[in-house]
Amino acid sequence: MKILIDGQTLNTPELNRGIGTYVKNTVENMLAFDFVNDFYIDVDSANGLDHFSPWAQQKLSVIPQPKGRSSSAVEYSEFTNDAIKKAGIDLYWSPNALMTNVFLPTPEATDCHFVATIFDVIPAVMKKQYQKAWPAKVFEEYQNKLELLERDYDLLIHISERTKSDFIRTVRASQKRHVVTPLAAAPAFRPYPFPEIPGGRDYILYPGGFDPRKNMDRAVEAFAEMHKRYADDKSIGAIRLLIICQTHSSEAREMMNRAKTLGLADKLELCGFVSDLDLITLYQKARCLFFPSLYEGFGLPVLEGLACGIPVAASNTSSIPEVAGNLATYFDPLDVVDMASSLYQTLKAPVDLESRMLRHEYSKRFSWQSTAVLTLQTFADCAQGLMESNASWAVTNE
Amino acid sequence: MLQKDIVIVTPWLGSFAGGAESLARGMAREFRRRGLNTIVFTTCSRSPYHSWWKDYYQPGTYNFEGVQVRRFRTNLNQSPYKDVILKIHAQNALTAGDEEDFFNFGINSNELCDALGELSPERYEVLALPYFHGLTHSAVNAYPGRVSLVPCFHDEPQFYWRATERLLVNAKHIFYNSPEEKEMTIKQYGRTVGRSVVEGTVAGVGIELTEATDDPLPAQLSLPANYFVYAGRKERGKNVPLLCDWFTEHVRRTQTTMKLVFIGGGDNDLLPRSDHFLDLGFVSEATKQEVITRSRAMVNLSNNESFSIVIMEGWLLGVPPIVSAECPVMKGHVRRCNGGLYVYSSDEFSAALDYLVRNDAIRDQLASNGRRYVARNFSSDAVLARYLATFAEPQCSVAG
Repeated sequence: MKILIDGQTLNTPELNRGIGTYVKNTVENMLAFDFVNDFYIDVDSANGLDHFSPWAQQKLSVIPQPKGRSSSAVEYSEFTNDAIKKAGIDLYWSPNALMTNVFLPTPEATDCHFVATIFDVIPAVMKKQYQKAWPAKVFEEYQNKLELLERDYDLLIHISERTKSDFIRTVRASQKRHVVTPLAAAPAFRPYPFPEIPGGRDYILYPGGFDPRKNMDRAVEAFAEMHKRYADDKSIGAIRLLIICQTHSSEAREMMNRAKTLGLADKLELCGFVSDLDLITLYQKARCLFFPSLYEGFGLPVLEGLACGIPVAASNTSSIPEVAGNLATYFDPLDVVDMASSLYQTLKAPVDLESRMLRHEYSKRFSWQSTAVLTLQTFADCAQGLMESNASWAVTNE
Repeated sequence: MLQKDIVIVTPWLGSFAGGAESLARGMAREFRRRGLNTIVFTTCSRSPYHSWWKDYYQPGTYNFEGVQVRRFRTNLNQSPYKDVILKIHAQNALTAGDEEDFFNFGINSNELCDALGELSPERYEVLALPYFHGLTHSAVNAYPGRVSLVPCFHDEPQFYWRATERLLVNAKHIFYNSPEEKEMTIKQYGRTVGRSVVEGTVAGVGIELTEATDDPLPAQLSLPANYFVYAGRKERGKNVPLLCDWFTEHVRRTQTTMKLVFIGGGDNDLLPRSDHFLDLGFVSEATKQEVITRSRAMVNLSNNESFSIVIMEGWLLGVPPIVSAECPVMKGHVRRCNGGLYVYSSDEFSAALDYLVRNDAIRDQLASNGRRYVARNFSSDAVLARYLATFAEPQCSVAG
C-alpha cells in the first residue's frame, strides 16, 4: 500500500505541542516497524524532515509542494489529489485535520482512501465561546472541515474515546469508521531515579496556558484557597505553584498582580516555555501535578506526570479520567473549593520510590509503538474495506 | 531502581584535595543526599600526603559529612613498594614482579578486603577507585565480578601494566570519567579484556557550584581590571611553565595590559617575576568563584587531565576556557559543546586570547553553550543516574 502523509504540521507552531508530538512519534514508530508499505509525505520544504530520524528520512519519499505552502484549501486539494493520482497513492492521512493553520483536502473520486486524525472538537463543543472569539470566516471554515470529514473521509482516528463521542454527538456522524488511538508519554518521561530529592519537593507543577480553557484564574484561586484552608498544616506552607506555559509580558504581569492580591506573591512562579529536558526535570521533582483544564482532547500532561511518577490532581472532565484512570484525584474544575481540597489531598499522596514506580508502570500502558501499530492496522483494514465497527484501543483502568 | 546500599572503597577519605579522593567523597555525599544508604570503606592512613603505611585514625566507624565511614588498618610492609619506586626513579626496567609489588605494597588493607567479603552482593553494590592504588586492585581482584571500578585512568606507565588488565577483567562494571578515557582503554584493552571495557559507562563527574557564603573579595585582595585566570595547582605536569612562556610571548607581541591571574597552590617559583602575572595562591571558594567570574577566560594548557572539574566550574560561572589541543579530554569537552577554544601553539594561544577579548558576544555564547553542556550532562543527578542505570544492567561475564 502507498500511504501519503500530510506534512503541513511540520511547518506550524503546533509542532512543539501535543499535536506535533503525536505526528512525529506516530510517523517515526510506523516507519520503524513497517516494512510492507511505502510512505510518502508532502512538505513545503525539505527542512521539514529534519524533525525525523535519519532512518525515517530515508524511508519517506518526499512530494514537494510547488512554490511553498498552498494558499487555499482549494489549491491544497488540487495539489493533493494530483499527487495521489500521479504516485498511485492508496491511502491519504491527515494527522492533524482540524487545526486552523492547515488545509484539509476534499477527496476526488479516486481509489484512494482518506483518513484523518481528530484531536478534539473543542470549538464545536464550546460553540458559543468560539463563535464569539474567532472571526466568522475562520469558524465557518472549521464547520466546513467537520462536514467534509463526516461526508467524504473513510476513516476518522480519535485520540480518546471522549473525542470520538463528542465528534459523533456534535457532528451527528454515523458511528462507523471511527477508531481511537491514544497518545503516549515519551520514554524519557520517567521517575526521578533516587529515593529522595536533595532539598525536597516544594512545588506543584501546573502546565497551564492563557487560553480560558486551561482555567488559569480558577487554578490560582484554588491554590490560594488551599493555603488559606489548610494554613495550620505546616507541611504545605512553603509549597509554590509553578506554571509552565508561553506567556506575554502583559499576561504575566496581570497574573502576578492577581497572585499578589491573593497573597501569593512569593508562592507563584511563571516559568514560560521550557525545553523537553527541563520539563522532565520539573515533572520529576514536583510534589504533584495540577491539571484543572476545562476540556482536553486527551490531556497529555496528565500522562507525562504519571510517567514521571508524581501524584496528579486533575479535572473530572472530558478525556482526563480516561487517561489517568484510578491514579488521579479528580475535582470539578468549576468549583474552587473542590479544587483546593483535591489539591491538598494530592499533596498528601505518597511519593516514595515504590509509589512513583507504580504510577510509571501504569503510564506504560500507553506507548507510541502501540499507537503506531494500531494506526497501521486500521489503515490496512480501511484499505481492505474491513472497517465495520468502532475499533478502539482498550485501556483498562484498573 | 536500585534497592541496594552502596559501598565506596577508596584509600583515603578526608578534607584534602586530590582528584579521585574528592570524586569518592562527592559521590558518597551526593548518593546519601538522594536517600541511598552509602558507606565508605577506607584505610586509617591520614591522607595521600602522609605515610601510607601508618594508621593515623583508629579503626572503626565514623560519620563524615553525614556519610557512614568504616576505617580499616593499613598494611605495614612498605619496603617492596619503595624498592620499585627507587627503580622507577633510576629509570630501570621493571619486571612483572615489580609491577605486582607496586600495587600489593602501596596503600593497602587486608582487613578492609576481608570485610568486603562479608557484604552480600544481593544487598550491596561495591565501587572501588582509583586504579592507581593497590587497595583498588586488592578489592576488585579478591572478589571477581562483584566490585565495580572507577579507574580514573591517565595515559601513564601504570595504565599499560599487566596488573591493570587483570583489574579490568575482574571488575563488575567499569565507569569512565570521559569518552576519551574510554577510548584510550578500548584501544589498549578492547581485544584482551573485551566487552566489559567496550560496554563500560561514561558516567562523568557531578559538578555543582558550592554555595559560598564568605566575603568573595576581601579588602586585601585587589584584582586587575582585565585578566585571564588559571585555576589549579602550579605544577610542571600541568604545563604551567609553558603557559607562562606563551603568555609572555603574547604580551610581547600585542603589548597588552591584560594580566594572567593564578589561583591555587603548588610551586610559586614556576611563575616569572613580572607585572603580567599575579599569584593569589589558595583562596576561599567564594573568592575563587568571584575571580573566575570576573575573568575574560580560563586558560589551561595541561595535557593530562582525566576530567577537568575546573573548566566545568568556569562554564557554570559564565566563563569559557582556552585549553591545550594536546589534551584529549579537555579538547573533547570543548568540541562537544562548542564552549571554548583549543590551541596547538603559541601563535594560536595568542590569537585565542585576543579573540575572546575582542568578541564579547561570541565569548558569552561559548560560555552559555558550556553551561548548558555541564547542566545537562554533569549535574549530580545526571551522573549518579548513570551509575544506577548501570547497576541495574546485567554484568558482562568475568573471565578467569
